[in-house]
Amino acid sequence: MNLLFPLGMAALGALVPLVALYLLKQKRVDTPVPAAFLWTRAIEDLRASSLFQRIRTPLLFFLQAASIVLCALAAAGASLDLDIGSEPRRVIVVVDRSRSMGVADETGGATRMEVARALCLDAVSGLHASDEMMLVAFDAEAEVLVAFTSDEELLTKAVERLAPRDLPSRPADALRLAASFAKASPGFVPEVVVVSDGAVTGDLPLISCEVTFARLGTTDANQGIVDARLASTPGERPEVFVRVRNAGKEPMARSLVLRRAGEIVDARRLACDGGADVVAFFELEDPEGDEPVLLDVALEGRDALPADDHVALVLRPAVPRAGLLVREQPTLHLDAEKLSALHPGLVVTAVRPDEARATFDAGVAIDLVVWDGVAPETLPPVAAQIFVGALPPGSGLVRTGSQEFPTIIDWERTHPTTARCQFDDIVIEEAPLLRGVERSLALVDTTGGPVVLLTPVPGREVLVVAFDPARSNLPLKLAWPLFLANSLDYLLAGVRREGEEPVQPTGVTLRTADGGPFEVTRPDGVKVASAPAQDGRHVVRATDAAGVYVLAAEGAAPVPHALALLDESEVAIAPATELVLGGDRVEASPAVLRRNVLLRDPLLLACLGILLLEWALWCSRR
Amino acid sequence: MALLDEEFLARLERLEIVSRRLRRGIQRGERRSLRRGSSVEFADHRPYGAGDDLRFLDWNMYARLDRLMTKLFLDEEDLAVHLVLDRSASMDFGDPTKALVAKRLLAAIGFVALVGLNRVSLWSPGEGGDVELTHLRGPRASERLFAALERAPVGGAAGLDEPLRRFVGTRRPRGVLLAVSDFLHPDGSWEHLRTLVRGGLETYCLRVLTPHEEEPVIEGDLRLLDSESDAAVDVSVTPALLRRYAAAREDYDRRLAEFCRSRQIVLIPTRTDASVETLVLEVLRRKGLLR
Repeated sequence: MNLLFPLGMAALGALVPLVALYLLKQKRVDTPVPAAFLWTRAIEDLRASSLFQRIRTPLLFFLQAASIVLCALAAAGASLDLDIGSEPRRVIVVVDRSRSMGVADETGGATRMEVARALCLDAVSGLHASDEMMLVAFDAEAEVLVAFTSDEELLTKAVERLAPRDLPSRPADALRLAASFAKASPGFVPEVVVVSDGAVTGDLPLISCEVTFARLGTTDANQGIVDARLASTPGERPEVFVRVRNAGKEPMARSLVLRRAGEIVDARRLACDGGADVVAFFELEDPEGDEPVLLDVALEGRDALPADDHVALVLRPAVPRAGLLVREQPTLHLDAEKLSALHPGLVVTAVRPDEARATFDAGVAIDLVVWDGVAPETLPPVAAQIFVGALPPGSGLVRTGSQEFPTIIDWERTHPTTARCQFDDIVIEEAPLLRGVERSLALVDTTGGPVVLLTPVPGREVLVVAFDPARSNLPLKLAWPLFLANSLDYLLAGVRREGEEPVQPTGVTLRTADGGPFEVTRPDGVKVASAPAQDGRHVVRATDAAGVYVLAAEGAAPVPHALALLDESEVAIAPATELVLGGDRVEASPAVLRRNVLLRDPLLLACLGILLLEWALWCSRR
Repeated sequence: MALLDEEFLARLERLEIVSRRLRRGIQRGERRSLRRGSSVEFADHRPYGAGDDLRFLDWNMYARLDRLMTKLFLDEEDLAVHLVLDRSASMDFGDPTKALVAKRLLAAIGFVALVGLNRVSLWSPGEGGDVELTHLRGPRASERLFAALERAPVGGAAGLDEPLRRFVGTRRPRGVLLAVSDFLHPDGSWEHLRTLVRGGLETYCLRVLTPHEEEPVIEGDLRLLDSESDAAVDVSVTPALLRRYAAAREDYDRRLAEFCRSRQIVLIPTRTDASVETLVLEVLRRKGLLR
């Protein structure tokens, strides 16, 4: 609280005569009477009929004193000092501009971002000449819109440019940024004001500043698509997988519609309780021709945040996958042609280790590598890799010895790689004893430890058949080709070359393969021309809006790219009650950026109310 | 300042004390006695006996009946009038004070009684010892009565309760008793008045109150101190409290009046702002004490 006219507190001097009068009043005047017993009877009757007779006198005194204090505060210009102080201040306003800030649930149908802008503008107009403000916006990343300045025009323009973007809310970087700027302000007590709905992702750092959380938002009723995938395996019909979350408390019943090139292909009726997810699958016809097809999955109807009700997908023609079978010498159990036949669209070439190394060095796109009895010194950047009779480098698997005729005791019957395979009649002449298998998933386990594993390596996971199949009867069994086919499907299903993704997260950088004149059509229809960068490729970084970006190079067919924000925290739009910074909890305080609020009228109203109460009490004594 | 002025005394000389009953006196007075005496008022005859005064022979009856009969006349005797003054501290209130009004009343009644050759006594217990005058007789004794009343101090906590019991028990008075007091007793007990009735006294109680006792003119937060005890009452004077006080006082007055009426005690209430002359010449005559 601030006093604009401190001299007004002189009105508190009225308390002196009041206290004096009260003390004098309390020192009752001695009055002799002929006989007091009649008064005793009278006052006993009166006390019996009035419950609060004894406390009335001090109560009236306190009420009178309170009314004087309130009048003095009103005369002194008492105001709520939320952003104006007598000392120069430096305020860092950290504004959330993620997608949930576009929810229109504020008073009068305003969006959260509109209210945030109003709060910021209010704070800007309330700055003293010696005050400075800094404006930081954050979504997936932090951006300093305006560094410390007292230039109201500059700050106002920056605030007015604030708009929600289809990006997740990750304020950690923004808070670290604010803390570093605050530390670089010697002589000031830095203040950080976070303007957000609190729907954020990730842990927030503990910063050594006074942090205020100005919370926005009023509702949590929202449903949105939190996951969408398109599986297009060659030879099989494409499938669309969609997961919808009902972030509200009320049950949901909405329709999910799949459109292909603008026409409805299929629809599902989705229903679930509040806070639950519901999943839908769509099976598509094979794409015709070589042109990519745009798919759109949409939740019909409206909710608080329509932006998360649509997801675009690009169904592209199947591209043949290239594979290498790396070996020193040909073996009977692995053959390049047979491997190619196990997975449609896969072309496997048998090479020697040195040839494989040359291929990798040349930058040839390879989707699969099967290492047969050999292992590279370092893992090549290939998404799908199978090690047969060898151990992958960097996996932590170490051969500590060997075991003869280990007995298979169990195998994963539900895993996609070993499904429908029978390993109980497999006889292995010799298998290695492995150490460091704790992080791996044992697909086939023996008395001497796992012999078939799915092992994590940096950036991916690889399939390891630790023993030499040639020293077992496995290649003679049906389980072997079945296992290989399963493994190829499993590993290649997640392999996407750059530019092949049916949908990418917003904020990614889109690149073109070739140079030359180039034009980008954004989701809102705006076309932006661009010149190639130094490496001859075009780069599109402004991908903060969900939708389809069409990259068109001169003389080439336009390439669509679908971007979507499939972020669960942005679908859950419920305003948070607090922010947890490290171990500190910052309670939400609505409208914290308001300027000084003069309390004269509320104080005078309260004073009037007290006087009325006193009058009522006084009348009740009669 | 004299208690009574000359003009008022002159008017009082035409009045006399009225007793509702004839009583045996001690000395000859102006009041009819139960005893036959030498007054001019004929009472009866009786046969003459040796030693009878020949002057009282009824010669007319002797001439008609040839029998000697002696005439009997009513004897005129004095009346004992007992004046009791309450001079406790509670009587020292009002303007004029209740004590002064009481003294003037007693002086007037005493004067009337003395002029009527009645036997007058004054008794007043209280601070500084009892004030007591006995066997006053004749108008000339009024000076002593007036002086004693004027000198009687007012104050102290002694009421009439116990002293009056003692007075009746030791003196066994007869005649008329006139007590002037405010009759304010915390416990609301007036049993001491019952002893007066048992003793055959013709009792008149003059109750003197101040106007402010009936309608208090006080305000604010006060500590009311009882004049005759250590009692103190803290009050915040409000209209509601005044209404409660008035109700308590009226209840007290009602019970006192009922007590006196049931015991044939004449209770005469008055206020200090009332005229003593009017009270004596009109009210007491109306109540039958004077004529």
